[in-house]
Amino acid sequence: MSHLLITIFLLAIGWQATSALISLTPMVWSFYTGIVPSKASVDAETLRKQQAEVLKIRKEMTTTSSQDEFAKWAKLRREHDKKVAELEKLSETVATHKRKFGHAISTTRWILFSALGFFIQFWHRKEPVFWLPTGWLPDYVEWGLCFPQAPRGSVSVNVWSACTAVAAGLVSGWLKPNAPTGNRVV
Amino acid sequence: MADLDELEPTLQNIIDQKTLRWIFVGGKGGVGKTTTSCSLAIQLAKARKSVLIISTDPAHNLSDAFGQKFGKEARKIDGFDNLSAMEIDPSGSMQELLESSESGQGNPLGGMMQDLAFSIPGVDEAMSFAEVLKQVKSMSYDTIVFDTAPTGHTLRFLQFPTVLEKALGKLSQLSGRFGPMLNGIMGQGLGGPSNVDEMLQKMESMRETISEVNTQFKNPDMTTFVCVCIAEFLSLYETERMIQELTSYEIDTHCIVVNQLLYPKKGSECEQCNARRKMQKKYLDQMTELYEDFNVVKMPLLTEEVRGKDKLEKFSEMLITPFVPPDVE
Repeated sequence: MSHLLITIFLLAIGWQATSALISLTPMVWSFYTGIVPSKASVDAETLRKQQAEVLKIRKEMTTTSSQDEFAKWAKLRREHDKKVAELEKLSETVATHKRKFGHAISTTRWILFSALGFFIQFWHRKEPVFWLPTGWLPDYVEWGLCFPQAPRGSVSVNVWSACTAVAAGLVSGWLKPNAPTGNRVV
Repeated sequence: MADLDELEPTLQNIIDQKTLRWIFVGGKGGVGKTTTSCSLAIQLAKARKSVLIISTDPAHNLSDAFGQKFGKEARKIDGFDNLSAMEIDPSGSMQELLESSESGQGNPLGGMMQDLAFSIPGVDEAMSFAEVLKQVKSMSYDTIVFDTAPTGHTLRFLQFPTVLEKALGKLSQLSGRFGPMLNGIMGQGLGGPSNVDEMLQKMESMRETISEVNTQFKNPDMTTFVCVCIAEFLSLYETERMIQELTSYEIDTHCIVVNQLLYPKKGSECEQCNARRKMQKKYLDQMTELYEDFNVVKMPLLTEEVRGKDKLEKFSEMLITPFVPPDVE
């Protein structure tokens, strides 16, 4: 049964390890748009370009005297207003892309680690992960450790999952003392 | 007509465009809106069957300009047989509407109207505007010239149709669902069963008027906006802003009238005049550059106030035949 023990342990570690990915979604996003060609990355690139353009126009506007060169200034302003309107529209689109991307990441993570974990727990609920030496622990503790359906005297998949999750959470908490510990709901 | 790229500096195109029904004249306060709109109306009257000029400025200047008292009803202007004028107070007609809806004592809808008037900014003006438009539409004037209130007001006024149409559309949609229920509740309480229906019908008809007018306003064949300004920074700035906003409301504008231009005689010793002329020239040049697709009409500053029929008529000539300064430096 050692494969169960290791698989579940890896799942718990994987879940904790990828929690960093979630908090770093913005970075992952810019990395993703920089590398993978898609509609989203094209939009994000255009957005960056447009932002730069607007800033350039703004700078030009401040260096143009509205009193002495009104025509030039007004033309700049028209351009600025037009660009800003476009920018707003585009940034909304990009924000939607970004939201979808974040959603996809967290869904994938959930399926890979959490849902798979649930499935394994359900499928192997009657199997022991490992046996406890007989007589070492009192009866009621044995009963708790094999909860819900594993044979008496063994540690059940569910209990083992919970333990690994807590352990992984604690360790990751020590590794990044300033960040909140990843929470796993089991 | 020196340059083919430049449009002619007259308002002749407005006179020639026979399909025009609504002409708005607007700009900052004190730049000569009323004088310009009256002059334009006078010129229009020569080419159309009947022309009406409406002032929506709370500080009514039409009476001053023509030296004759005008009120809420259209009245012929002395000395013209196809030119009428009326002055409306945007906040006045809402009061009447409120009073009329309160005539039934203890009518809860009167209170509702009152709440409405206070809760949505500008709705009272919008309602009165709608009333006026309804009135005007039933009258058979070829062209209606609006002498609008200073910039802020003007734009709000033109925005109303869109805002109000949306609001009323929502309301009538709601009433479709809750009308019967409301009627049931209120009808029982009041003993007057048709109250709500009547009210909603009124609103619906108002909505129709507004949406019709709205489409007319957005049609460049029927509506245009004449911007009036003086050759000064703030006025120019406001004009530019106004033109941009008008464009965003899809209202056509292609004429600018620049008033109060100084043309000191050659060799004039007047220091102020020469300095001012220099400044005005700077802004005029900027305008020529910026508004190349506009008819920019240049009007001189006169030595007397433009009041009364004769002076206005004389002044109005210059809207059509460009003023040629005697001999300028």
